[in-house]
Amino acid sequence: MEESEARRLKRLRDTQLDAAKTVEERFWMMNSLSLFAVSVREAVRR
Amino acid sequence: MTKRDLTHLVVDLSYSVERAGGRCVFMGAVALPVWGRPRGTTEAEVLLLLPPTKFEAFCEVLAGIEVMTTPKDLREAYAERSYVTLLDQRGPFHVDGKFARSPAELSLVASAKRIELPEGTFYVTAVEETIALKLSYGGGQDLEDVRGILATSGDEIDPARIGPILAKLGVAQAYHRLAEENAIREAHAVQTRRKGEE
Repeated sequence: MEESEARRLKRLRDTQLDAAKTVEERFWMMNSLSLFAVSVREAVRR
Repeated sequence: MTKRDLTHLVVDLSYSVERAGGRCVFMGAVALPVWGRPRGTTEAEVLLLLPPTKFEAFCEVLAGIEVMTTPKDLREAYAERSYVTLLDQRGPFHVDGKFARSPAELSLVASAKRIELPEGTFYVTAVEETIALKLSYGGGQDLEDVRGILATSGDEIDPARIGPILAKLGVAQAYHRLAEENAIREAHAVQTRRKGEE
């Protein structure tokens, strides 16, 4: 089956991200996940 | 331009699906921090309840929030019951969407939990379904995820609801083993605390 455009771009970007991911970028992503986790836990407790 | 974080992606995407006349329910990496311990991942999964007649409108709304897909990709995923990538052009996260079509998938949408944040609202799979799905995948990390959910949200599990869901997926035994393990761990923790207080 032909690869969709979005999937092709995603694959390209994942490859680029893996190669170029800096400590700062990884920190930003983990921080984003942590902030999300804190706010959803608070929302569930309310 | 500021990168879009996970909270804003989830809220923006939910709003877009609703504007196109549908509903979406997040699973996996988005449901996990709601009920258990988060995983370090850039991928999220979403169940979409949206008829093919709305695909063009949905793509237009998505373009407005800089998330990329095409009506053709949506139609293929709908017809083949496979995943479609919703690519965020403003951040490192991306979402794999699947259309809710089977009775089991429609039931996941119907029982979803609404989460209200200051940034907006969205839906995630209920705690009972999140556990059952993780157990049905059965990988080492999935079992760790269930341990995290039991430790974090054990009190929120409805015993009457979860029974039939586990039975349907054939994972009741695995659940009871982990629940028992969690109960022993909690009893030990209480004992240790008491000893410390004496």
